[in-house]
Amino acid sequence: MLIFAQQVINGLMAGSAYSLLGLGFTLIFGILNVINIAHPEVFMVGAFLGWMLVTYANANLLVAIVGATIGASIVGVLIERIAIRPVRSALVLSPFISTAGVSIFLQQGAARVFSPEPQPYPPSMATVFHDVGGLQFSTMQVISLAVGAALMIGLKLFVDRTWLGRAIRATAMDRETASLMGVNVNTVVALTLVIASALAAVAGVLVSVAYNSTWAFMGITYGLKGMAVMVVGGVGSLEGAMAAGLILGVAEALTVGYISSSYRDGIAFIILTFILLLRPSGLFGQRERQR
Amino acid sequence: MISAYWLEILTMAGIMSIAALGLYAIKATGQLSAGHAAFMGLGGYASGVVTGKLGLPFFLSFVVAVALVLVVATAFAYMTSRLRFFYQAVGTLAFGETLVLVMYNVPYFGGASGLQPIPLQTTFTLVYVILGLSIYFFIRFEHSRLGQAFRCVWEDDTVAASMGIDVTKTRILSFTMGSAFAALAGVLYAHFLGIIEPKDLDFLRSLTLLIFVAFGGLETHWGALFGTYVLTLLPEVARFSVYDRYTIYGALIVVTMVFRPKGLLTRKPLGAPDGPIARVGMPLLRVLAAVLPVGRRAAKAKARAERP
Amino acid sequence: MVRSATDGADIVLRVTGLEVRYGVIPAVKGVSFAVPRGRLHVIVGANGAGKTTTLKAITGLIRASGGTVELGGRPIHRLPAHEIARAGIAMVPEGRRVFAKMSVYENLLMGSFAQRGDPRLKQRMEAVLERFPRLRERTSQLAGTLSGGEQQMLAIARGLMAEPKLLLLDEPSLGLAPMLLEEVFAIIKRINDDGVTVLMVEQNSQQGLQVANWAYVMELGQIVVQDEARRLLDSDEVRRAYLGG
Ligand SMILES: Nc1ncnc2c1ncn2[C@@H]1O[C@H](COP(=O)(O)OP(=O)(O)OP(=O)(O)O)[C@@H](O)[C@H]1O
Ligand SMILES: [Mg+2]
Repeated sequence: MLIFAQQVINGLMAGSAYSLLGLGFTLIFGILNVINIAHPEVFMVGAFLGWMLVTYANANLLVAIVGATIGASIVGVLIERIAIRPVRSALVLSPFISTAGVSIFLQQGAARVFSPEPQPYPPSMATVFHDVGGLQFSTMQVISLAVGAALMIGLKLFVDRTWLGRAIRATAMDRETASLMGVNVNTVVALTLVIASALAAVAGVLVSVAYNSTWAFMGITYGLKGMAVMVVGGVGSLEGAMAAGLILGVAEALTVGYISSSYRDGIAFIILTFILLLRPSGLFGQRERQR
Repeated sequence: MISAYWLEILTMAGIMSIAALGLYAIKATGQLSAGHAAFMGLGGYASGVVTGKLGLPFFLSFVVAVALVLVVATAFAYMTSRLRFFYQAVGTLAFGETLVLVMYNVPYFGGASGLQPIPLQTTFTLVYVILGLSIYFFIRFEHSRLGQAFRCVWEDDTVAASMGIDVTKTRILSFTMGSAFAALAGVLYAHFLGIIEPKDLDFLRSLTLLIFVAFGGLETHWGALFGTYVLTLLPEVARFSVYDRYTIYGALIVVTMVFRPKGLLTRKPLGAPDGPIARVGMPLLRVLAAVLPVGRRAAKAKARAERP
Repeated sequence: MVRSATDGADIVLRVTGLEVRYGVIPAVKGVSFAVPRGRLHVIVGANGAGKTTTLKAITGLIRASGGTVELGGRPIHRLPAHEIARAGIAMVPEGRRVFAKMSVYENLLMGSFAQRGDPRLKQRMEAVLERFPRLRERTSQLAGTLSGGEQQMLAIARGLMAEPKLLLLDEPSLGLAPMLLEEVFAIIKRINDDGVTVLMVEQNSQQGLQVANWAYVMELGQIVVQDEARRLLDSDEVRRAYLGG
């Protein structure tokens, strides 16, 4: 029972990062109808920005997160302008490939600048473990989960209740009609990328601090899982992405606890396969969108 | 004479070209496979078991690998036939990653360290004979009835259906045919390196193949060949450090897609209204207009100036 | 007797020499007209005549290749769609285009997106719901689940939420049963009577002409005839030649 509870706690913590990435994929796909293969690289860039702020400027966690968010947002918006907007109207495959190019560029660039080895944080960021009734958890786990939950609730409220949130939804449903309502579609697209990138950057910093490793290629596995989370939750569904990310995190942790850690990275795809075969619109999705 | 080093690189490029041709065959009906490397790797593993584990003759490994992939690909295509575009991409991706997981965890297949040893039986000549035959096949295929059916389905599946083409069947056939070429490439690959590993099947490898095809040109099999050769040989001739090399590689792909969304080789001749020459200017302007607010501001200023 | 569309009145919309091309194919070839304040003008014509294209050019959804569009004397043809909307043109697009996964209430709010923060929005919402009692019963229903007629009402109501200087309607009768059709045209007439300037596109020319003050007949991208709506309706010659009986 204790092991089970422990794994659930570990799983929720990892899962909140998957949720944040999956939310970004879903937001971007919703508004642009494009899978942004470079989105996980925004997560990686965010992690490195945070790492640099801590390592070179002695920043605390909050400053690192804020700085990473700002920097990553700029990168996210630039990716859309350079690699998505000019090719969006072409074939379905074109933006897929151009963002893959961006992804390679950023990965290799980071490997070039920071070395291809994972970078540890200075000892000041070492995580402190607490023991409550036999359950082990670190300060970082608590912070991650709290920040993740706050961001998800905040995002949901923003998208549901505010004028700009409504504009994002309207643009996702029907760009042309949204512009007839006075919505500046370009601004909404930029805003969406800022939100998605900010979520990714926060996840990047939290993950890299929690595992004490910031790596040029950290986006790859997280990115694939984020994509899986988007589909499992139902493309375009925010609640779906949130739930699917947490479910995936817990499923992985339980696999590690009860089966074997070598299956951990594959669970996402087994769940994904079942969802695609049984319910392609995802757990929370409406109908399959085709284009 | 070419050095042994270049012989190796050219052999590898030939193997990748066969896989890329297969991906083109899938793309030819407008489908998107993000798990092509998995089918290639499945062929590699199957053939590796035949020769490496069971000690049977090399030619038999082709038969077994292609037969197995034909069965698996048909079953997969059939089960996922209602998934389109993005969902199909994710479905093939999930298939590939699941297969990676299987290969990692089944000790018989060598786990993380891969299936080895596999006899080194792939030669330069063998690869180019098979590649030559494959190209000949695609040239003939292009003008065959089935080739035209493929193109119809790509262009508009409703129209294709109204012309009496069984769209679902054609799509399954194209997926299976493409995967069979992947299997061929996989056999050659495994017997060229003497080993096949789980990571040979993963999404990154599939993405690389997709990039080859999209970069070279999506509309013809020549594009797939061209893209594969350019992108495998370019990093070898570029005299930069390895990370610079791939940073440039990434940037090159972005630039190519922006300027030529359908890849470098298309059906249009160079000077056509949307041929390469005419296309260089517009995308550049589009990128500039998107990145810099100049264009919009100028338009606004003009509109303001015209107000009474 | 009035013999001109404008007659020295205060002009809300003036379109001069408007040309639109799709690629190289011209769809609108030099169209000019004007809509004075408080009037209801209608453009009628066969399928593919270029009516929708004209409205799209006015609202900035397509860039015109020639000509000018002025709203209250201010040139707007170079502005992007969202700025034209903010300048005071509301469009009820062909095929309704309500935001399917938003509630009726949220759709109405989207209509006044350009004036968000305006304290009078509450009253405006109240006034609009007053006009469309069927929508009031369904404010929390998802727009995509409304019937076709209700969606059309919602699209019109959404347009009114902007309190526009000019309301454009593209085929409000599309796909409606005869009963509903009359109701929708009565609503449009009432909106116009309450002072909203309207430019409407209609294929259902009979009904369109009955409620309008002035009518343009469009054919192959050009205005071929224009006159008082009533006179066009009465003219057998015009009816036979352009309006299909
Ligand atoms: N996006 C487009 N691309 C190319 N041609 C178009 C496009 N939209 C419209 N056209 C063409 O422009 C012409 C005018 O079309 P438009 O939609 O304006 O007609 P309409 O008068 O509104 O017809 P309807 O009564 O059927 O709605 C038609 O010949 C049409 O085929
Ligand atoms: Mg029309």
